[in-house]
Amino acid sequence: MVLKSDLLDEIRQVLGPAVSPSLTTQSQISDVYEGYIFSIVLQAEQLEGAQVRLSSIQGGTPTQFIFRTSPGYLNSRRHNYGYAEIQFNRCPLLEVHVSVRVAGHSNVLHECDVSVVDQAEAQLCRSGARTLAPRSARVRIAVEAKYYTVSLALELGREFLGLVRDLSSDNAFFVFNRNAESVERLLAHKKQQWEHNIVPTNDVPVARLRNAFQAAFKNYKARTRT
Amino acid sequence: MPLSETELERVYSTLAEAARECGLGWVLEQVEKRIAVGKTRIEKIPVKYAEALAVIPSESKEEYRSKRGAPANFVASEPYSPAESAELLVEALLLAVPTAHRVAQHTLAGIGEFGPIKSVLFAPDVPSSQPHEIHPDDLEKRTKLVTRVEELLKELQLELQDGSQE
Repeated sequence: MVLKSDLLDEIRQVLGPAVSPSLTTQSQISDVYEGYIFSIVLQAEQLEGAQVRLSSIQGGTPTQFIFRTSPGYLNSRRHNYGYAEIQFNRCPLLEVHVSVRVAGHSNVLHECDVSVVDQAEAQLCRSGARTLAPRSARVRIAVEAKYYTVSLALELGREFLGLVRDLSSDNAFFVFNRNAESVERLLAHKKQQWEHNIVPTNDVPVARLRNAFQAAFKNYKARTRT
Repeated sequence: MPLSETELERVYSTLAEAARECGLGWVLEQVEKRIAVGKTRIEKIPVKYAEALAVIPSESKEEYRSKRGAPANFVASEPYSPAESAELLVEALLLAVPTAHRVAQHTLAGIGEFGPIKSVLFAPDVPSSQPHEIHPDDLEKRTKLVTRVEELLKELQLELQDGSQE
């Protein structure tokens, strides 16, 4: 059997022009993927009744939203980084950030791809003259997001277990764009929160992830409501 | 009739070259790492060290002797066939191009639900790296091409699957 002769030629012709210049490297796609997970967190908050407001470190509502890509500190002024402010009725304010460093129990710094942090803690870290990392006890949700074109290596699951052990958050999630049997087996065995196949075309897993975030917010409201 | 090995190699090398040409060499790298590892699974194998015992130093022999014959779990690896290797590359390209494009569109739309966002910039918090931007106009103008790439890759995927099933 021989392939249709023009199939490979046409793929070759259209592949290059289809690729956006901002989506040509794995790190660029991973950055965008963190932004995508950030947007799912915001949807979950809204569904749980929160008021969501986009903000930036210089104040005001941005028209160009800037995501931090390499891990950074909340008081960094290198760019006018964006974040979201979350207001649940009668609950302390929260903020959602991408790619910030947080301090674990051991005082070792970790990178959280997407994190939901108490606003009081975020402001303390943002406004001081000193560079401070939010403490993991003040991180309500931490998400590790991975975008891979092949099955994820088991070591990524192991790294996540190491991260979770050093964070106080009950709500640490390992989220990835495809399936990865060995990672899934490991995380299920260790009773961790994980979700696979998280891409826009997969409605069921995306809804399940959104629901898991909603459950975390439901518990946050119950614990902190005055 | 399945695709011949030569034909499958042509599919793989053409796609690999196309990926490299458009800056997606990293996709190829990930696929080839996976191919090098092979298809892994757990296999229960009876452990017989009969041959090894001949060359093990005498002080260590006892440890191995006691386990002789007992089945144990091993991670076994089997190489990917040329058809499976080509399928891995097709699947990886689907994730790297059309799926990534959709993720970018949904990110913009998702954030846009909460404010008047016109574009999104991704900026590292280090001095030397350059930011990259996703802009709805750039995504929009490529959507047709992306859809076509997806159709073609899926068609190729089907041909590879049909070919390997026959």
